[in-house]
Order: sequence, then structure tokens, then C-alpha cells
Amino acid sequence: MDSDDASLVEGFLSRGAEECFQRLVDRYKERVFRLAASVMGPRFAAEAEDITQEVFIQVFRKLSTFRRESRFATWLYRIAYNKALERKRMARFRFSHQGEGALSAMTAPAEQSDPQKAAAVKQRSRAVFDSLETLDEPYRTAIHLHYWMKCPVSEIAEYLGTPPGTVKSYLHRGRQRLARTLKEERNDG
Amino acid sequence: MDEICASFDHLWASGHDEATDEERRDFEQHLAECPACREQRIADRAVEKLFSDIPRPQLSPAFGEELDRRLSRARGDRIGRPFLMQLYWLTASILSLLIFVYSGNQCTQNRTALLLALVCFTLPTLLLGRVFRFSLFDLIVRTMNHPEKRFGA
Repeated sequence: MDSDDASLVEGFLSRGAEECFQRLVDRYKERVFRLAASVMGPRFAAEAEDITQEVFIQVFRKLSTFRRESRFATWLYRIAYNKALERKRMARFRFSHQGEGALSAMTAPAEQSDPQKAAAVKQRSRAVFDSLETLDEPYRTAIHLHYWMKCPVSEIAEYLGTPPGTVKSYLHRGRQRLARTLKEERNDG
Repeated sequence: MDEICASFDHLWASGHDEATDEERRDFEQHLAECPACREQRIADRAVEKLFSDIPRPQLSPAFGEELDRRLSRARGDRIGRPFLMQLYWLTASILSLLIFVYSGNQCTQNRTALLLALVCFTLPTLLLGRVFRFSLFDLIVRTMNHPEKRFGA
């Protein structure tokens, strides 16, 4: 697969074959989207598609600067991760209320007969999300990729460019924080 | 709670279908004895449940179409920019040559001064452009295409 990526990159750069670029897009669009959505988190996931498009536009423009010292996928994920981080910083500042609304809609229990129970579930969900937001990068993204996108550790390691052992420690630390929050919630409740 | 339990990997694996039967048995045994891991497992399950209620976002069917549209604009930049750059340098060269020849007809002192001015302006611009793949013209085009990035953000 790597050599295939390399030949597609080569085909695009040397012959200007745009079908090679299209194949790279088809191959990686879902993964770039998953990574972007995980960096943005449930609050701002709506922006992930736009980020994915921007990533491929940037790759189209800058592929000639790709030094081929690393794998194409590694280079691509690095661009996607940085772009999503940049967008998240802006989104937090510009659309904080919009993000709150999106989160409320998502964490509202769908068909909860007991209003008190529904409110408790909602409150707990919010507490966990708030706790997640206070996690540093890349812990938060690792948690999103694993629990939300259901990515295995090996795939997360590829996205974040770290060994699988490091990803496991990211997840561990994220879980610790969430466990603490849940415990406090239980004690309060 | 803050200390990493040695069985952490097993804890993770048993919750995510990546463990062997033996690892699961070992973990269950460990779990009975380790309150930290029990707490972790509670958190693990709770977070899993929480995220299971949140729909996973999907790429829209219009993704490809929209990307094509934006790519064709980028393609225009990619093809158009080198051509415009060449046109720019060609025009600048002809103008410089005309000024040089014209000034030569006036007097020798002027000609030397202009030659020096041309060398001082053109050589560094060309060299910097070669080394950093950058030119004043490129900066102007980029600023016009992305006004929000004009301060190099």
C-alpha cells in the first residue's frame, strides 16, 4: 500500500496525472475526515468535512514539497491534524454558543420516560464532555478516535504519528480523568 | 487512582475485543483484586456508553462534487501562476532593457547608475525567488486569493 501511495504521488507529480490524485483522495478521505472530526469533537464535528476538503486542496497545492522521507499517509495526517487544531482554536472562540447547542441536542436522551432520570443522564453526559474538553491534546483526540470513531489503537497510532504504546497511555490518562469526573458526579448525586 | 496500574494494557484490551481468551481470564482475575482497575473499567464502560449515544458523523454525498469544484479553482492557480510569473519577468526584463538602452543615449554616468540599480534589484530578487520559491508577485497573488493570510498567518 505504501509503495502504491508512492507511485500515485509520483504519477501526479511527474506526469500531472490527476486520476492519481483522485485515487489518493478516495483512499484517504474517510480517514482524514475521522481524524478531523475527532480533533474537533462532538461540539464542532460539523466543520470536519470542510477541514477534510481544505486538507486535500493543500495537498494538491503542496504535494511537490513532500520530501518523501516519511510515508505519504504520515505527511497527510500531520497536515490534517494541524489544520483541525487550528480550526478548533478558531471555532471555540467564534462559535462557542453554537457548539453548546449542538452538544445539548446530541446528549439529550432520546426517549426517556422519567424526566428526572433524563435530566440526570444529561447532566452526567455534560460533565463528561466538559471534563474531556479540559484534557490536553493529543489525549482528547485519542479518546474521541477510540471511543467515538471506534478506531483500534494501531490506527490511532498512525494518525497521531506515535507508537501504539504511547496511544495506550494517552487513552489511559484520558480515562483516568473521566473516571474521576464520573466518581465526583456519583458522589454529588 | 493516578498511578498507572501494571495491568492497564489488559484492562484496555479486554474492553475492546483485542485481547485473547487467556488475557481476558488474567484480567478478570486481576480485576477482582485491583480497585484502581475496577474504577478504570467503570470509566471505560461509561465513556463507551456515552459515545454510543452520539452519532458518528459521515461525509456527505456531495463531498466529491464540492471538492472537485474547489480543486478546479486550485488547478487554475497551479496552472495560471507560473504563466503569469513568466509574463511578469518577461515584461520586467524588456522594460529594464529599454530603460537601459534609453539611458545609454543620455550619458554614461546615468547608464552606470541604472545598470547598478538594475543589478541591485534584479539579482537579489531572482536569487531569493530561486532559493525560497517566492517572489513579490507571488505574495501579491496570494494576498489577493487569501486576504485573511496577508500577515503570514
